Amino acid sequence: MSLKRNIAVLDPSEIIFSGLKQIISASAQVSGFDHLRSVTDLERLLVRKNLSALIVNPAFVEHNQKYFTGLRNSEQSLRFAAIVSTFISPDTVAFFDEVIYVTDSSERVSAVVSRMLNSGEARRSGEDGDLSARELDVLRLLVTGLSNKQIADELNISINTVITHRKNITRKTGIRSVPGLTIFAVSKKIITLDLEAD
Amino acid sequence: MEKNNTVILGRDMQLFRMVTYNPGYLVMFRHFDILLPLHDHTVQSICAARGITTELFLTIASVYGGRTQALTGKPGRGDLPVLLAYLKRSHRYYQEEIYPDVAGRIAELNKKARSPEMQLVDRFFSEYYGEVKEHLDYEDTRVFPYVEALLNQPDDGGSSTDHEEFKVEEYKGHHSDIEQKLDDLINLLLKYVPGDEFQKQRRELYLLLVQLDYDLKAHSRIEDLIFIPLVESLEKKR
Repeated sequence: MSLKRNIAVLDPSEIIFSGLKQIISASAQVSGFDHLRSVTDLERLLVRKNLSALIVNPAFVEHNQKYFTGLRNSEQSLRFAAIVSTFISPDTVAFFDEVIYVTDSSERVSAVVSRMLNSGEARRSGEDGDLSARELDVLRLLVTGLSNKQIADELNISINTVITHRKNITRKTGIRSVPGLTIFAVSKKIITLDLEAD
Repeated sequence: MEKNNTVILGRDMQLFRMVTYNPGYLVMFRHFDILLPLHDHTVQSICAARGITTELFLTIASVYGGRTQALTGKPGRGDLPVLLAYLKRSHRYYQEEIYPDVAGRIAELNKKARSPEMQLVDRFFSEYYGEVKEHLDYEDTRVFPYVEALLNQPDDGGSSTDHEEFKVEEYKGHHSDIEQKLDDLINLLLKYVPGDEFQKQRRELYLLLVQLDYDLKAHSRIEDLIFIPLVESLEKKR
């Protein structure tokens, strides 16, 4: 029995919604595909339906930070993707699980949506301390002693993004220092260390 | 340990009652060299007996209660000698009483648990404690003597050249680094370090660390918000 997956797009543009709909509706996994134009629309939808993924214009998140952070915390299985046509700041990027650019190919969009719909199980298991894939990447490099700049180069992202990921890691775990995060990573089996016997 | 912001502290408040509101005051009293039993002392009576101004005592007590604003203007430069003695006694408490206790417990847990996480915690704590000792030494050997020299100087504006310049900004930054590491340690032990055995030792260690964290944070606020501004005003007088 296949799971009914509902996706919604929160963006005022009809062009963006139609384009996304055309690409994504082809996927067998998606049963509901709604166009929302305001946060109120979203609230109303959430009352009626279980949403698996929300593709949202980052401006909405930037202007309604408290609401979206609360939503993110309370809806553990809801995935967020940004739909970006102009510019998105690194701080805002950190909120999202995925980022879709209007210049992306339909293959990439399908792949992103597929990832969002299938990642529900992995995250709920809590094995990664609820860190996102990107945050895990940053954490792994951080505990090997790389600087922010080196991590940025390695992952092909900006230093600002690295810093944002670090902030989120600290926010989620309560640990800031590198040696502290190393202990966290070992305890979650994110890394293993060879320790000399004391 | 609960902070208590809602109880108004005044001269007539009995010491024992302060402690029942907030056990953290027991350690604050120790820093003032006020020991158990507390008898029926009030703030007023103990201050009179010990040569402490009630302004200083109550301001420090309100910091313990979580207050961070409107602290200047009450204790004055005349309170500095008593405040210095208070801070010195705090350092002895950290170095002679509580840190050795914590270090011993962590070493014990590491010896028993033998997990990579516990080994790392032991190492993490050693490094952290090293930084703390460095900071306390800096204060004991540089900052406090500097302030004492300022206090002993005659008012004629003669300057002392054999003490290094007191860099307030740099000094303030130390506190938050150290506090962050202790926060990390507490969160790690509470949330992530594995091991179902030794629950009693883990609980005791956690409670001790929380107590230490509470007192250290109050200590840092007292230095940043009361001590340093008073020293700065003393410097300006010259």
